Amino acid sequence: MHQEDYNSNSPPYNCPPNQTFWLPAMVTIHQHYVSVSRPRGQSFRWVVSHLLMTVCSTSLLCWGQSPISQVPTGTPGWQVWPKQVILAGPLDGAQMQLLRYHRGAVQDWTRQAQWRSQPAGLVRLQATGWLEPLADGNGYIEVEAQDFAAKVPITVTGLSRPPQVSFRRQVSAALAVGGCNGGSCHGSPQGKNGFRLSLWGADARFDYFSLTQDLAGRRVNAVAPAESLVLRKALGRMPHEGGVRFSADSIPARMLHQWIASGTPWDHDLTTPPELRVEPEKARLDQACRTLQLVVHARFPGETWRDVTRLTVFQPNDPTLVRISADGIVEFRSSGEAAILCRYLGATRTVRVSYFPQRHDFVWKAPPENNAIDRLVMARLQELQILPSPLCSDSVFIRRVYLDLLGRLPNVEETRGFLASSDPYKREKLVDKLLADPQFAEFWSRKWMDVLLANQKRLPKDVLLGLHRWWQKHLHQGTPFDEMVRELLTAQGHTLENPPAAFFTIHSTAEDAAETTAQVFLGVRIGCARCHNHPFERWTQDDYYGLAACFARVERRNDLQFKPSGRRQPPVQIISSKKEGEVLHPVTGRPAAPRPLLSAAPFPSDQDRRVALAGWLTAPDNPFFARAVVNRLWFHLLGRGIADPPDDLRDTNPPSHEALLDFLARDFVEHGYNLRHTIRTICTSTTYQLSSEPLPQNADDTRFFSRAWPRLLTAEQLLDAIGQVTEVPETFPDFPETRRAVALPDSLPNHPFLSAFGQPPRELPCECERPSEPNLAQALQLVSGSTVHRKITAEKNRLGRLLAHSMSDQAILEELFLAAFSRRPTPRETQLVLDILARHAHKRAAWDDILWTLLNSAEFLYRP
Amino acid sequence: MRYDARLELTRRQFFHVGIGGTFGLSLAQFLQAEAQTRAARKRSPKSLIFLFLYGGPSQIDTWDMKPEAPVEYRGEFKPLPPPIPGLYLCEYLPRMAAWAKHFSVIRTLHHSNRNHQPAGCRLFTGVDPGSDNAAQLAPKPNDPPALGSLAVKAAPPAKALVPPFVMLPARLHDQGSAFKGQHAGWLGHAYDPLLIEQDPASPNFRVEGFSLPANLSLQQLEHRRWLLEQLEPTSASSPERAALRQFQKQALDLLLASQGRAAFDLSAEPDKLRDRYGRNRFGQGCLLARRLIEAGARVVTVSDCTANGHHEWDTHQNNFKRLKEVLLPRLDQAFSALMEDLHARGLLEETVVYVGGEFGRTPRVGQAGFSGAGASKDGRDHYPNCFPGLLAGGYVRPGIIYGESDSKAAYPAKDPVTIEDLVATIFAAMGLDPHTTITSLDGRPMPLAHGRPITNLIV
Repeated sequence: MHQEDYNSNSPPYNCPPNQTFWLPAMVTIHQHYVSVSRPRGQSFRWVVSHLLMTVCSTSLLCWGQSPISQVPTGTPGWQVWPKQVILAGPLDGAQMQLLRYHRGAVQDWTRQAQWRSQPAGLVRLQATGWLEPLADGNGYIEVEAQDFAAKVPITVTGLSRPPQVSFRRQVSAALAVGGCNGGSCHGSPQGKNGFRLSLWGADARFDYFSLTQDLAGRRVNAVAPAESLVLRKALGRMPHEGGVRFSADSIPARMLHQWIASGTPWDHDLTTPPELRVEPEKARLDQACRTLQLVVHARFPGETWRDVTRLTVFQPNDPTLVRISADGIVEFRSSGEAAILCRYLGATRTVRVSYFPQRHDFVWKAPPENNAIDRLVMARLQELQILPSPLCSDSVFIRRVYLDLLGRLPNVEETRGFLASSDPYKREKLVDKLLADPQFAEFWSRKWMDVLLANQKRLPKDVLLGLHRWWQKHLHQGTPFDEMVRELLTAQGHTLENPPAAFFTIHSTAEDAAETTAQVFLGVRIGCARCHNHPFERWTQDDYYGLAACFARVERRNDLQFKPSGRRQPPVQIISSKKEGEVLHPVTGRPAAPRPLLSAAPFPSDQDRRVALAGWLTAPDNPFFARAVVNRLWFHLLGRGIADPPDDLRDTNPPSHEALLDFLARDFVEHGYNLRHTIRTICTSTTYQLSSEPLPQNADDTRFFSRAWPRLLTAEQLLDAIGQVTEVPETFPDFPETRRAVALPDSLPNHPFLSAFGQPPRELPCECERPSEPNLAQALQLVSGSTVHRKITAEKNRLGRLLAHSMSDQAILEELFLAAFSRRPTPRETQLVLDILARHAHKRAAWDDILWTLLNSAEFLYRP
Repeated sequence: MRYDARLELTRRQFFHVGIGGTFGLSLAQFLQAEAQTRAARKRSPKSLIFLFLYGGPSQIDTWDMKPEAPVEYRGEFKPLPPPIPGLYLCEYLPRMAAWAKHFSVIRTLHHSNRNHQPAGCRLFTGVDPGSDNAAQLAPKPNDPPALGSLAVKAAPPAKALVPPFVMLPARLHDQGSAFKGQHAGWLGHAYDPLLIEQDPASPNFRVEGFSLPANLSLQQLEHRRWLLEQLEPTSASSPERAALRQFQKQALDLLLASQGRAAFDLSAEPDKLRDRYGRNRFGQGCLLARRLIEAGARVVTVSDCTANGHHEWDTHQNNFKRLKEVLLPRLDQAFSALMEDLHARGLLEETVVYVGGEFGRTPRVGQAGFSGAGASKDGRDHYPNCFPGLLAGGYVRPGIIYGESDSKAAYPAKDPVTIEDLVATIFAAMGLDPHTTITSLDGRPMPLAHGRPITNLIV
């Protein structure tokens, strides 16, 4: 509502293109006026803003509740934070912050500024901007830096009262800051050396008793607090396997000490986690400054905001990139982008900070943009000063797009035709042609079957085949994906007649169904919350069991007509919905209400729970579904998700291109959840068609899609490709000879080649099941394994056929190259091969060696 | 990463020494020792040969005999004169006894898993699978990794002419189902063991991939290697493509260099030495383990099991007959041969040897009730409450008898040791810090081992 104000009053400045997406939808009066505090001399403006601020101070602090994506990078000019300080009690403290926004980047002036209190003696002010109370009273904190000056009102109260420390608010948080209740320390299920705490302080009551009662209360000593075991250990005054956790004058240590001195009081009725706000929530640093002071405030229901900066745990997603001091100062070690999780008690907030020093000699050069994807990707690259590689060759393109869409190599005729064509739109036309090919559905159904755990241990063979056909049919027909997912999650009936019902045979419990649904369709790994609140994320056990409750009323009856033939044969089932059935929340012991993720409101009780869930999940405004799906498509096509891993979308794992993910998700919804539409958009983009050859200006890039990343063909693709090049395709028992490995309904656990190359066993709903690291077993398969060896030496393979036709050596070589590499040999390669053939008495043996070499070369083994 | 457990003192030990010992450490000494634990954590990592007596050997009939117990407990066998004070070894283990000064015995291992699968899984991973259900125990990608996979992750071997982790001679099963703990689990396939499912004593023993296909000569393979270098020099590939090429090179080296290939070729050993180990699956497996360690493997697990990976030591019936006629002599021969061989080659210092089963057996002959299979009147049932394990080599302090069982070897009487602690001790004996944190497939930080090493057993 103040958008106009904001724009008209802001001095013009160049907002980098990507940051226009961050312009706030809502900016409060408060922020507007004060954040552009005037230099000395413009006192009228300052007084206005100050008055406004004083009037509105309480409510104004609340704007931080808007979602992170709405937070602005910051208005240009100086910004002091907080706008008002209230210190209550002798142990209170607050962190001040002075930032300067300049050309879209932020400079932290907190430690360069002059801080003073007015009147003096009201508070003790450290050079770091940390202040602690000295005397009750009202006044101002004055700050000066360069040509800027400002005053922040401050109130100090409660110094005459004895200090009060709350177990939950301060002690529990202090233990978290020390890392004491972490999973590898006392927070592990067995505890450590006899001292056990709940993981990340999830169970305050347990921790309270552990500290005060366990070991006959030896851990705390109210008479001589400093002699308490817990303090002596944490301060390193006696041997502690975990080392020194705090310094004696740190806030956490003082809180612990005072709490013990006050007789270890327990605070009642504090169950709701606080709200948290971190300032700033998004910032970009440039060469002027590689550090940034974070300030964290928390507010419990019905209370005021309090500074908790020094009771907050800061966890960067990449500790090699940034270091964060206990005072909340972020320091970059090298250029990059970090997500920092700030956790105080049960509340978390993720801030995103980037540090990209600009080079002045950088010259931007990029291939032409084809669509919106390129606009967003290229803008990001330009901002980061990374050059994209040029477009890939036609040979690379045809190979890439055949492997990605159909799962196989183009054959010699297809390649010849494509290379010869001079149609300027031939790449787009090829994408369209492949998307219409039945092999597209064959190949892509496998990707979904993998993560939906459709394996023969869980499903009878006929049900598995039915489910495979169901996926192929719908993918081929182009059924909107939301429809398919709704059908899957609400499926009823006989698993042989209605294959999607098999989802509930695969997942025999509500919990299993919830975990797969979350990971595959919401891109959320919620499994941790089965046993404890997620350590890095906002997922809680309430979310987990709320989702599981949606599957609590699925009835599974075995169809006894289909007697299992083997002892371990899974049953054919009839799936239906029943009227009762609950999932118990392990903490409350009571039935969990079915509800969407991150929502306090349960689904209406009169609705079928699965129908309600499927409706919420596939609604156009669902914050997860479309993003998770398009991110997964991107992952399959580009080799890395925009958020990666692709099925682990969370605040601390931010996408490399937020706007791109938003665009693709919106576009996917607007085009009726049409998978083909999104795949087509991606494959026809310049971004998809970049070469994999690195440039000096993008050699280090692994995140921003400045080039293609070659990746090993999947186990099935590779087996098919070797079969295709040698013309000795692998055959599979019970399937026609033409059946490709990529089109098998299930994995073949006993196939040595497929196992070595990491065919997933379909036990986890995770793309990580397909390993990305190569290993020795794979190399042995290629170098001397019987599968490859038999195909190379088979009498009637491609070599046998070509030699029988008495073709010239050069023609044979060209065909081999086209088949294996989708290109013609270079003169050097031709000469090399002709020399070898001339030297060898046994021609076929020489050709065998050449074929082996082609199949062992990286050009063949990797998707280019 | 490298770790020295000898100085890791707990407060409890400190009190113990301080109160009971005549040479109590002063606080200053204690603190100094503590400080040294942090300073002195650099040790060169050792290899491990894990001899797994699948089925569960009887504690009271092997290394923890109770000659004073009533006959229905102590059974038919008699102990040898103690080779070191307090160690009562079975009369059918004379050659093992001769090496007693070189190994140590833990007599108080215990856990709560009564069946082969969960108990085996627990021993192989140091993690309680928390279930007895065969379906739950089937291998899954997010399983806890096998010890060997963890050790290779923590300390990749410097020279590797052979895969760094090898298991033989079969994938272990119970009632037809393989169980978890025999693969790399959440470490990913790259750390899976090479599984040799063959009888090394067989004249046809040949490890697929480590020998050339029949119609491919060494010369031809050499030519192919040359051709690949010509056609596609590694330097031309992008960094992503270089990774697999490294392994291809390694595979070619392995096949072309005689050492690597030869590591699997038992016929290269003198007949006399092969006889010394025993011409059976277990004996030849031990010999193969030594050859593999020599060629650079970090961990080799040799199981005494049937051809299809079922238990040999599961003496619900015929306990004494099986033990004295087959199991004990075979173990006695193979173990002593291995010790002798490792010692003679100077490899014992470089190699930890662990010997043990997944649990012990009921103290009273014919006592059933711990598993579905029970015990006949000349048999003993599964028994996880108290059983021994044997450690030698590497950083193991030899000649120690750790822990004490009660008069019937039914429960630990002093110094009980959990499987988690045992596993931590094995890592410490290899010079690896059991507290090292490793990140799992799904991003969860996990320690190498969940227990604490027994400091008395580490040099």
